[in-house]
Amino acid sequence: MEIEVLNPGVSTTIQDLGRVNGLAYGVPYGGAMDRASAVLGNVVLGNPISNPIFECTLVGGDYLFKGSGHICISGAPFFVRLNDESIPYNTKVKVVKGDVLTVKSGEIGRYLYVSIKGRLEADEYWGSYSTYEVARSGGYKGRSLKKGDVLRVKKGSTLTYISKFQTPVIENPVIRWSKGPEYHDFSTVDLKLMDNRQLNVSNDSNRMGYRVDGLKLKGTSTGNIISSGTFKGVIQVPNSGIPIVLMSDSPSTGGYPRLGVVLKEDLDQLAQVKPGGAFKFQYVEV
Amino acid sequence: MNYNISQYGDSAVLIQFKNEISYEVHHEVRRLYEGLRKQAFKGVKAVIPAYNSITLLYESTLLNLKGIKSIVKEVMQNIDYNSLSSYQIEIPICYESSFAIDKETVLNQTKLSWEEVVSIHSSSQYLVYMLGFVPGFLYLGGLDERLFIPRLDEPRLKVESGSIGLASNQTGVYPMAISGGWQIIGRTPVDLLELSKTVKIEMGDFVKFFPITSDEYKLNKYQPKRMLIHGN
Repeated sequence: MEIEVLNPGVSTTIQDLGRVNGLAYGVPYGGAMDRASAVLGNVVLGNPISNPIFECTLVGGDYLFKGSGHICISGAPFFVRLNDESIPYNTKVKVVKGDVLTVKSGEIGRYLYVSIKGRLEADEYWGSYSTYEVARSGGYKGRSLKKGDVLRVKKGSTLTYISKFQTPVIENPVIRWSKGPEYHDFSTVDLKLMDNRQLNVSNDSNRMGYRVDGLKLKGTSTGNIISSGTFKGVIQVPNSGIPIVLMSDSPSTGGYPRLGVVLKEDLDQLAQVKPGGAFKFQYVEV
Repeated sequence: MNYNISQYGDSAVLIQFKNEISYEVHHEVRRLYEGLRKQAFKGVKAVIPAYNSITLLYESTLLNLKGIKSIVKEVMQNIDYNSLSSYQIEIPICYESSFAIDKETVLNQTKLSWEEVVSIHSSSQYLVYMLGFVPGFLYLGGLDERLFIPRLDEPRLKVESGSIGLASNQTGVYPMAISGGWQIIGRTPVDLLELSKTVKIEMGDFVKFFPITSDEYKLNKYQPKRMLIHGN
């Protein structure tokens, strides 16, 4: 089957579960921002969980199916139509030649996933099919989709999974975090500021990182550090005092003090917070 | 030499060496990095070597802090720095005015002639301390003190891909067009981002730059290779 992009939305890229073997070479982990929803789509279709999928950001766009097959929608609850008919989430849905999938925006959530039964063809980069736009590599030609792009789906291996699933897309999530390497260099005043207050994901946020609105920390007395490893979930505090949570395309190293690290289990919930959307931090010991 | 291992979130640890950038510390980091790579330890997902630390990502169902401490101890006892091989990569740079956009500032601040700047810059051997923050970027050490100049007060919004710059004790090549505040003294025709897909420059490798003319830049017949210079 082939899928033609009639309108790519804001930014739609091909993603999978990311790569680990390039981290020593400056290649980020990458992969789906909301991993749980990405996995779910493939699980519902019986695909291997690491199969490439479409990741739509805020507004999904329009896609023409040029053959028949099955798809699954998961992630952010956006306005979704198949030929003007609404279709259920987290469910296997049949598509036939000439069907058009339309994905608009929604009240909450940020990333919507379209999984296709079989194997979506994509370019490999360091062992993953995730698009990494900075390096123009992976996914579909290393970039977000454009009008007129045609993507191919091949028959893939079929598996069956049983899963217990809770959607990560919720309003006002509480995001738990634990100590980062420079935690003890921050003042108790700064540490108190972090928790139990409403914060917002800044408009200045993308696959690399989410800036946090509603906080201005004093920062450490020692300032920047000798560049050292960073990854998804790390909370950096640059000189501005405004924390940044690094996300899927996190740089592999950085020089800002690392106040904390978001718990792995809570990263999907944070990923799904829209620009301007609210959340709270809660410190935990690990 | 001492190191300290601490929890870094719920599925990573930071192995921190002495708080400085030096060849001695680099040797320790490299011993551990090579040792961790050589053997597939169960539960170790990835390692990110840096100037004076290694970040180790692990699978928390398979490994914990205690297990990692014993792995690190074992590796540090078993790997001898002198047994490790060294490689060198030679990268062409055109230092002509059309590419050296900060030439005037560099001349004013270093009080050297341009011939001297080029000769000093292209005669040193630079150590790749680490790679990051994006693919193809090398953190190089070994810049001659005569070329130490501060970065620009205001970073440029866009520096052309391949530009080579100076910033205090550092020199390096921008692998892609990004914003940056280094003083630009030339450009390489080699696409370091593309090169990073085929030639895996490693931390611990050495880099040398050699001057080329703008005609040679245009022809761009260069295919840099990793050449063994020590060990096997």
